[in-house]
Amino acid sequence: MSLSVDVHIDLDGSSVEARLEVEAGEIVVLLGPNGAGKTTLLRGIAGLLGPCGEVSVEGRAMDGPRTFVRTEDRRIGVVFQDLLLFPHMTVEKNIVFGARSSGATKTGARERAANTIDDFDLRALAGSLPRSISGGERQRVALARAFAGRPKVLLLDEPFAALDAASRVEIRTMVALHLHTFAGPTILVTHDPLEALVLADRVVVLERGRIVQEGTPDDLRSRPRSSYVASVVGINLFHGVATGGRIETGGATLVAATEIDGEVFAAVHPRAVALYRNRPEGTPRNVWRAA
Amino acid sequence: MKRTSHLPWSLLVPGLIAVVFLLFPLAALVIKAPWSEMTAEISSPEILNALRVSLVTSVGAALLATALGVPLAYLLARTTFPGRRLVRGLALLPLLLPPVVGGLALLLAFGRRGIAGEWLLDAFGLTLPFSTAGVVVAQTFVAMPFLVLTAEGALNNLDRRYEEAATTMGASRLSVFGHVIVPMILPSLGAGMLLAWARALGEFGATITFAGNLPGVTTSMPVEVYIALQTRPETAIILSLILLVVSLAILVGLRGNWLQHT
Repeated sequence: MSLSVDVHIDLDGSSVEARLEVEAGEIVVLLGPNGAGKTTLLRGIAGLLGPCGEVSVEGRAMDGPRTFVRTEDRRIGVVFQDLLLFPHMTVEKNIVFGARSSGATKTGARERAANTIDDFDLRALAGSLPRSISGGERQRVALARAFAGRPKVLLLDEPFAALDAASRVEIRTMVALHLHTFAGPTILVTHDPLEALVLADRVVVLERGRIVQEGTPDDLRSRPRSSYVASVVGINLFHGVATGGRIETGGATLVAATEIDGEVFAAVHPRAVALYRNRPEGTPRNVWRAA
Repeated sequence: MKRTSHLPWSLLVPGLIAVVFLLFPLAALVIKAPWSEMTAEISSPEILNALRVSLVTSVGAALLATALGVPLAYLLARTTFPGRRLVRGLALLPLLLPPVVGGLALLLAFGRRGIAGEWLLDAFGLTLPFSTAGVVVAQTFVAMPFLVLTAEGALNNLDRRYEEAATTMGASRLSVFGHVIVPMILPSLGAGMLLAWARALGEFGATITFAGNLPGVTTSMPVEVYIALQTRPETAIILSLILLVVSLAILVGLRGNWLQHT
C-alpha cells in the first residue's frame, strides 16, 4: 500500500530527476521554490507526461520498462492548482462525474457522490455552478470530487495558492482533516514552508529538478541542507570550510561548538542572535561588529 | 497647437462606394419585389415545394456535417498522425473549390456509374444522384468545412487541463469528449452549425450538378430561383427575399457569438 517513484523527466530544456517513496496514509509535502519542477513531477506521476521512468502503486507498475498504464487507468487522483472544476456542471454533477468516471455504476456513483457531499458539508451548494461559489468552497468541491473517485493515491498541486490569506488557514485545517482520513499515499505540492511544516508527515525539498533534502519538519528545521531550506524555515545558513571548528565562510569566520573539519554548512538560528551596545564578554562564541 | 486630422478623400470615397455597392442590389431586390401579389405568390406550389426541399435538406446537411465534422475536428486538434496537415487542408478545400466542381466530383464518385455509386446501387439499391439524399450529400460536401473550422478553433482555445482533470478521475477519451469537451465548446459548435446550415441553404452549384432539378424532390430554393428567373421572375424574387431575410437573421444571431471571437 504505497507509492514508489523513480523518474527522469526532460521538459523544455530542464530536467526533473526524483526518487521517492510514500507510505499508505503518509502525507509527503513536496516543497520547493517556483520553477523547481514540483508540478512537473506530479504530472509525471499521474501519467500526464507519458513514460518517464518507474512509478508503481501498491507494488503494481504504472510506468516502467515495457509498462505504461494510462492516466485514466491509474486511479491516481489529482487536485489541480486552479482546481479545474467543470464550469458547465453543478457542484453535485462535478462530484458525480468523479465517482462515475472511476467505474461506479450510475446509481452507485450517485450514492457515493451523495455520501461525499455530506462528508464535505456541501449539501447546500449541490445545485450551484462553480462560478457562483467562493474560492474556499470551490476548494472543498475539488477535494470532494477527487475523493469521490476513490483514488489509490492523492496528488495535490498548490491547493491553497488561489485562496486569500484569511480563508487559507480555515481551508488548510479542513483539507488536513480530510487528508488524514485518506488511507492511501498523499503528495502535496507547495512553495509555502508554513504549509509544509503544518501538513507534512515528511517534507521532500525539490530545487532545480533535484531532491536536495527530505525528512520530518523537525529535521528540516534543525539541520537544513541548502540555503533555500534554511531561509524558508527561518534559519540563516552559511556555506564554508571548517578547520578544527573554525569555519571560513568567505566573508566572516564562525566558531562552531564542536571540533569539525572540511566543507560544512553552518546554521545560525535567529533565536541565537543577540544585540549588545558594548562588546560582550563570556558566553557568545561568535561576535560580529554591526556596521 | 491644435491639429485636426481630416479623413482622406481617397479612403472615404472608395469606402462609401463599397457600402453602396453592397446595399444597392439588396435594396433593388426589396424595391422590385411584387409586394401586391405577395400573399398569392408565396403559397404557390413552386415556392412551397422549394421551401420544403430546402428546409429538409439544409437541416439534414447541417446535422450530417456536425456528425462527421466534429469528430474530424477532434482528430485534427487532439491527435497526431502522419499527414494531419494534409487532411486539414483537404477538409477546408471545399471552401475554395468551385461548387460545380464539387458536384461533378460527387457525380464521378457516387453517380450511377461512379466509382462507389455503382457498388451502392448493386449492394443496397441506393442511388444518390437526383434524389433528396443527394441534395443533402452535395450540401454537406460544401458546408462541412465551416464546422471543422469552428470546432477545431474552439478545441484549440479550450484549456486542455480540463480534459486532463477528467482523465485523472478515470474518464475514458469518449467520456471526456461527451461530458467535458462538447459541453464546453457548445457555443462555438452552435455557431458552426448555423454557418454550415446557411451555406447548405444557399448551395446551388454542387446541388444542381449532382442532384439536378426535380421539383419537390431536389429543387431547393436557390435552384428554383435560377429556374424560375426565366419564366416566373416574381417567384425568383420572393424566394430570394426569403433567403435574404434568413441570411440577415443568421448574421444577427451570430453577432454576439462567433464574429466577436474571430
